[in-house]
Amino acid sequence: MVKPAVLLALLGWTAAAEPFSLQIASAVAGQSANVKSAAFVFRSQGCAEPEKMDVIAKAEGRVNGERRTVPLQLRPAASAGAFAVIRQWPPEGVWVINLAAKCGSSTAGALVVPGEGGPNRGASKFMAQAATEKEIEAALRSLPAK
Amino acid sequence: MEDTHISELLAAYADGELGVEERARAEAHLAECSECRTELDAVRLGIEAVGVLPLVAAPDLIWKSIDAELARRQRRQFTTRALAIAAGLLVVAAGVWQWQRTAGPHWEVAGLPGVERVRAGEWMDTGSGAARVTIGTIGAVDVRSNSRVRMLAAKAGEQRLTLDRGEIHAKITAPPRLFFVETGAGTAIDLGCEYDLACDREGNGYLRVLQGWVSYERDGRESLVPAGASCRTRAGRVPDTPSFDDATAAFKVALEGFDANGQRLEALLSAARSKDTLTLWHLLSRAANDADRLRVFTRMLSFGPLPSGVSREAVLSLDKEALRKWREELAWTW
Repeated sequence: MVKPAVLLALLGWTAAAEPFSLQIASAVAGQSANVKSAAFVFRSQGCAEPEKMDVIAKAEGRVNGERRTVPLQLRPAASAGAFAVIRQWPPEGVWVINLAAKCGSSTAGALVVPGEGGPNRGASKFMAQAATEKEIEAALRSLPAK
Repeated sequence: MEDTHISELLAAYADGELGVEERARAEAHLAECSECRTELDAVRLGIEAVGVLPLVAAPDLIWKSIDAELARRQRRQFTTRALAIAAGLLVVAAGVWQWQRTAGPHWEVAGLPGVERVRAGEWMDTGSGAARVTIGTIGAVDVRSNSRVRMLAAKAGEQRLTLDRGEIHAKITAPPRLFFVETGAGTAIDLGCEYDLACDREGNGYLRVLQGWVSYERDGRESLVPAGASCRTRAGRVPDTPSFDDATAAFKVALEGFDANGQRLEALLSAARSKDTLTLWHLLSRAANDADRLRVFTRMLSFGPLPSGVSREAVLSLDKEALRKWREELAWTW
């Protein structure tokens, strides 16, 4: 019989084998009435202990030519390591949501473009670390002005 | 002299039953009032006369009349008491009725002239108007024009109404499975959501979900409809299969054929996008036979693998837990 410790180590290795990254989806994937009005939800992939993942979320935008940053509070979704991003930024201007996550020594980042019924997957970008200011600027410039 | 005579005190005065103060008052009055003195003499004469009368037994007739009088008084007392109790009950009933009218189970109504609230069992017809019904503290229902609704239950664990015909828009903030809307074709169960529900008198209509999830159920069949998706409802039929509103026309036409008579499965599968796994997931349990179920399963796998812990065998045998896990995983791709 395989010992539980060995099994856990194997599971940990399997999880670690998948690169740490972030996955986004519309609010319905949150599986919770608490997050139904979220702009989108996200979760970690390849993180052995998703409940211990550190995440910083900010709305980065440009309103009337002025750069703005709004720190975001995340709402936990139904499963560990899954969070909802509730709209906390002004309706005017263009915005991307900057997610920077750490799982142990691994990092992952994402610039998510919020859409009407969920995230705009095609316009969103995913990277192996937190987005740089240059990447944020490029993402904002790529959005149609409002 | 006092203006008021003391006739009412004279018998007691003659019997020596007055207190010190009243006796003093009576004597002061009698000293100056000849009229009362004359009356006092008459009282004393009467007392003396009674004292010399012999004691004789009263005839039965008198006792009977006394008994009859006592019984009559008791009856009158009973009647008076009964009337008082009845009056009290009436007051209580009126209070309860008034409480039910105002604070009892009811929903507040706004926007419809002459209708301020709707109570259990009552119908509300919007006619050419529209109304907003506040569902306790858990949300609101906008009842569109030409709609007829009836409140069935308004209590802590259940808010339920019937949509006889017309259209409603519901926005509910309560935990899942507290708000129910019945139509001629099934029951919409809120799972934390915002949705539109429309039907004719027979139940033909649609459910369109704007936020969260709604379960539409009838005769043991459930359609789980997430935000961005819709589901047709038909009189006397189990719920149709839900699909996303942005599905292709080809997919929608094929789905309509499948729901109507089980046909067009092949066209449906070939027109499906990754997001349409919502529909395909429902088809797993609606396929006519094992071969069709396998075709649906195979098509779904072309969009992504099974989640960890979910086996092919479990899915094809319609294991509820396996199906739930797969659906929750698929939702991350919609």
